[in-house]
Amino acid sequence: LFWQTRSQDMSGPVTEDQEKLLDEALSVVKLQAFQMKRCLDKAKLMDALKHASNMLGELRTSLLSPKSYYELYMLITDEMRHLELYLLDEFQKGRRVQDLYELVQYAGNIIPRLYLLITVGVVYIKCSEISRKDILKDLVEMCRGVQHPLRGLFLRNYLLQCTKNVLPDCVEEEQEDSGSVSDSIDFVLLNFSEMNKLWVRMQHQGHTRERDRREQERRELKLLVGTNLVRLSQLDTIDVQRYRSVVLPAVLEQVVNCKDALSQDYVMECIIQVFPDEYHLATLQDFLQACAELNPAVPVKNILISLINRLSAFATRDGSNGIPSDIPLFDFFSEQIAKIIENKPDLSPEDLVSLQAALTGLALGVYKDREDYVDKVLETTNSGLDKLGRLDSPTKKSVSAYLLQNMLNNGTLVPSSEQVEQLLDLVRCLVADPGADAAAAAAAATATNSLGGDPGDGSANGAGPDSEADNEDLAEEQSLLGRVVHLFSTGPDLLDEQFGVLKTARRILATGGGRRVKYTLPPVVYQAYQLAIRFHNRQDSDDKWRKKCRKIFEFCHSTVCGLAKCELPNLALRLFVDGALVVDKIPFDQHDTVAYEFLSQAFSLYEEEISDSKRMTCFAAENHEPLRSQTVHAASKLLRKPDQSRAVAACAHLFWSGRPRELQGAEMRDLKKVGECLKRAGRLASQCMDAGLQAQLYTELVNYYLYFVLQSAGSNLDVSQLSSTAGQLLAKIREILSGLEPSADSEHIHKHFEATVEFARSQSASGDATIAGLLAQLEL
Amino acid sequence: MTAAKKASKKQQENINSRLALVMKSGKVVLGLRQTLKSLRQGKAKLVILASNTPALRKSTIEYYSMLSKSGVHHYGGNNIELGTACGRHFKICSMAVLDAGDSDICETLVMLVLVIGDFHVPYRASSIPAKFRRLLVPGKIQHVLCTGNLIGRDSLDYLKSLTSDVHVVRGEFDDASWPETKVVTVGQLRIGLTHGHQLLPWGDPASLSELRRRLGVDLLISGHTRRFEAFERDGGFFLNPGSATGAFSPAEAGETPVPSFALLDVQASSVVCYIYRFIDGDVAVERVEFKIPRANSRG
Repeated sequence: LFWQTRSQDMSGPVTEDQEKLLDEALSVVKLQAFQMKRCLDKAKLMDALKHASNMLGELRTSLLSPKSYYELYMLITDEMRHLELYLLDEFQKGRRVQDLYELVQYAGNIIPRLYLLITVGVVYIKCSEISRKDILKDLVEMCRGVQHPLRGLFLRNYLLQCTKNVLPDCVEEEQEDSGSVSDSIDFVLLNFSEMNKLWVRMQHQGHTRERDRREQERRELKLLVGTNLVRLSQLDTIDVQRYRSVVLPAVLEQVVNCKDALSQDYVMECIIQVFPDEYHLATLQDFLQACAELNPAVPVKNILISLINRLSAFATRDGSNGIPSDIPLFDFFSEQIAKIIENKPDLSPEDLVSLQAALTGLALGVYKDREDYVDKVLETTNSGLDKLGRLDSPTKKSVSAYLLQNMLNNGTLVPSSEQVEQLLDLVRCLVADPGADAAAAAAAATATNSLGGDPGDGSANGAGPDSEADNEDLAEEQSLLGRVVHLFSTGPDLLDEQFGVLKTARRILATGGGRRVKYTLPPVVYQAYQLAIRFHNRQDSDDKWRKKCRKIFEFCHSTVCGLAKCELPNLALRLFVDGALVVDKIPFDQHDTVAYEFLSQAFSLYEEEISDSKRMTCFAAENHEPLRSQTVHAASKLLRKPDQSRAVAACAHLFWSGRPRELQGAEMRDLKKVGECLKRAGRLASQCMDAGLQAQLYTELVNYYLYFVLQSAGSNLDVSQLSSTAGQLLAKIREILSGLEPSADSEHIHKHFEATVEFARSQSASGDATIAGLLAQLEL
Repeated sequence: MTAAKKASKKQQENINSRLALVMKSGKVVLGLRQTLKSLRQGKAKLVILASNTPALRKSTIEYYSMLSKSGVHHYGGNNIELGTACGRHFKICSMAVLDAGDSDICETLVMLVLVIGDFHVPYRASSIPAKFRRLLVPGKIQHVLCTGNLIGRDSLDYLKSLTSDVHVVRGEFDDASWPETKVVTVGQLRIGLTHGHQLLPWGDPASLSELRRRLGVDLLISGHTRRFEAFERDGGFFLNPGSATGAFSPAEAGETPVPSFALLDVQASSVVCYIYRFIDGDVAVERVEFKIPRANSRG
C-alpha cells in the first residue's frame, strides 16, 4: 500500500512497460505455483521444489520498479506459504525428508536458493528448537550473498518475516542450544545494518539524472528497514539495561556511520516511535549525543520535537509516574536546543519558534510547579528572536498568541507583579503597537466619529474590507489577552499582592489605546471587584479591609473613567452599574456615597452618550431615593414614546421591590408611587399614534397591574385603585382590538391579550377569596 | 381527547414507516443486552423503548444514554407493537439504531438542544471548563439556544462548531445585533429565549411568567442570574441554565457561581432536561422531566 503515491509520477511509457513486465512475471508465477501445488498433492516433493525454484527465479529480475517488484514479491511469498505448510505438516507427521536443508542448496541460482533455504530453515526451527541458534546465524550470514539493493532488501525482509515468531526470546543460560535473546538481537541487528547498507547504496546506482526518482523510491522502501527496529521492540526480554548497553549503541553506530541524511532522519524517528518512553528516558544522553553527530542536512529539529512531544505526553498521561526526578529532562533539552541554534545560524525563525514551542509544551506539561522553566524558555526565545531580528510583526504576533493560548490550555498562573510585567513585556506586540500607537488612537477616534453620522469622513478614512479583517484579528488577539488576565492570580491568601498584580496589569495594558482596552481592561476591573469581595469575606483577619476596599474602588473608578474617555460609553456604563452593585454588597465606611458616585457617573454617561433607549432597564436593584427619582426622570426623557412608556412602567418595580436601608432589607412596596408610575406609563402609551402599538402597550401594562395586584395579595395594601385602572385599560384594549385590521401583528396582540385574560381568570378561580374579589373588579 | 388520540396514532404510523426504512437500509440492534452494549461503545445514535418496558430497565437505559449523550425515544406502543413495527415476529422492549441508513429517524425523533449562556469571556472568565469542552462534541447536538453575554467572538464560533443551528439573544454586554427575545420551535415544543436582564426584578418568577405569556411559549429560557433553575409555574416551564463559565456576578456577590449548562431531550410529549454542573473539578449531572400539556391553550 505504501506505493500508492508512487504510481502517478511515473511517466507513461515506463508505466506501460512495467505493467507488461509485471504481467508476464505474474503469469509465470501463477503457472509455476499451480504446478507446485499439484506436485505437493501427489507428494512429489522434489518436483514441487523444482517448480518453487522456477517461481522464485522471477524475483531475479532487475527490470521492475520497486512497486512492481513488491507486488511480485507479495504473490510469491503467498505461494511459498503453501510449501511451508506442507513441509511443516510432513515434518510433524514424522516423515522427515533427509537432508532437505542441504538439498535445497543445490538450486542453481542464488535468489531461489536463499528463499528456499530460509523457508526450509524456518520449518526446521519450528519443528525442533535444538539448532535454532545455528540456523538463524547461518541464514543471516548466507543472505550476504545477494548484494543488489532491491533484491537484497526484499530477501532480507522475507527472512525477517519468516523468523517473526521463532526468534529466541528468553534470558541466557536457560537453554544452551536453542539460543537466547542476545542471539536474536545479534540476528536482527546484523540484518538491520545489512539492510541499511543496501538501502543507502541504492542511491548510488544508475544515472545521476534519475537521482530524484531514486530518492523517491528509497523513501518508499524505508518501511522495510524500519521493520527491523519494530521486531527488536517486540522482543519482551529486552530490558532497559540491555537496550542501553547493546541495542541502542549498535543502532546508533550504524546510523551515524552511514552518513546518509535520508536514512538518519528516518531511523532516528523510527527509534523514537517504536521503543517505549521509559527506554528513551534512560538513554536520553546517548540519543542526543548521536543527534549532534548527524549529517548537517538532517532536520534535527523534527527529531527533537517529536521526542519532546512524546516525552511530555508520556509524563502527563494518566497512570504514569511522571518523569523520574533524577533526570533533568528540561536541562538536557534546553542545552541541546541552545547548541542547535548556535551551530545553525541559518535556522529559519519558524523552526526556531517550533523548537521553543515544543520545549514550552514540555515545561508546562511536565513541570507544572516550575514556572521559572517557562520563563527561561520564553526569555531564550525572545532574546533569540531579538538578536536575529528576523521576525516581522505578524509572525511575532502569532508567536505571542500561541504562547498565551498555551498558558490558557494549561491553566498556568502568573503569581507576581514582576512576572506579569515580564509576560506582558514579552507579548508587547499584542499589548500595544509601538510607534503606531498615536496613529491607532487617532484612527479609533475617527472611526467612532464616523459612526456618529458623517459618512464622508468614514470613507476618507479608508474603512475598507482590509481594516475589517484587521479589526477581527485584533479582536481575537485582544480577547486572548483579556482571558489571560484571569490567570494573574497570586493564590487565595495573598490579597494585597493580588492588588499589586492588578495595578501592574492595568498600568501596562492601559497603553494599548482605545481599540485594545475594550477587551483587556474590563477583565482587570472585574478581577478587582472580586478582590474587594474577597477582602470583605476576610474581614475578621484583616482590620484594614475597609480602607483597602475603598482603594480598590478608587482604582476601579479611575480605570472605568479611562474607558469612558476612550469612546466606550456603553461598556463604561455597564461597569459602573456592576461596580455600584458590588459596592452595595460591601458595607465599608461611606459605601453608599461611593455607590452613589458610581451610579451618578453612569447617569451622566448615559445622558451624554447613549441614544439607545432600551438600555434603561439595567438600573434595577438600586436603593437610593434620589437615584430612584432620577431613574424615573431619565426614563421619561427617552427618545421614543413606546420606550418611554415601557421604561416608566419598569420603574414601578423600583418602588416595589427596592430594599432601602431604613426598612432593614424589607421591600418598600410603595403602592402610591407604583400607581403613579403606571398611570404615567398609561398616559405615555395613549400618546402613541399607532393603534396596534397602543394596544400592545396597554396589554403589557395590564400585566404590570396584575403583577402588583397578585404580589400584594395577603398584605393589607389597598389595591382597588390599581385593579380599577386595569379594568379601564382592558375595556380600552377591547375597543382598540375590535377596530384593528387583521394582520400578523394584531394577531399577536390578540393572542397576548387572550392569554392575559385567561391567566387572570385562572388566578381568580384558583386563588383565595381576596384575590378573586380584587380580580372581579377587573370586569372580566 | 379523541383529537389527541388521533394525532398520536398518526405520529406512530409515521414512526413505523421510518422504522421499516431503518430496518431495510440501516443497522440496528435489538434487545436489552445489545442495546446497553452499543451504548457503552458509544455506537448507538438513538435508543427506542417500548411503552411497557419495566421501569427499572427503562431508567437503566435512560441513564446509559445520558452518559453516552444519545437520544431516547419512547415508542407509543408496547413491546409487541414495536416488534411488529420492526418486522419481527417477537416482542421488542428496547432497541438501538446504530446507523439510520436512508431514514431521517434520528433527526425527527431526537432533538438534543443545548442550552447555554452567560460566558462573559474575556471580561469575567478565561474559558469554560475543559471538562465541558470534552463533553460537548460536534454531531450529537441538533440545536443550540444561547442566553447571550458571549462578548468575545470565540465563544460564538465555538457554539457554531457544535451545530449549524445556533440561536442567540442579546445580553447587556453584547454589541452584536441579536434580538432581545426569540421564539424557537423544536419538534412540537415552542421555546422562548431571553437573556433576562430586561425583566425586573431579575429572575423573578412572576415577571418570567408574564413574558412567557407574552411570547406564547411552552418553555421560557432565561439566563443572567447565574443560578440554575428549572420550575413550573402558571402552566408553563422555566429554565435557567446558569453561566457556562461560572462568571462572577455582582448581584450574586456572596458566593462563587458554579459553571453549568443544560441539555434538553425533546420528545413528543415530554422534555427531559439534563443539567451538567462543574463542582470541585468534576461534572455532576441531574435529570428533570417536564410533561408537555397538550391542552395548553396556544390560541
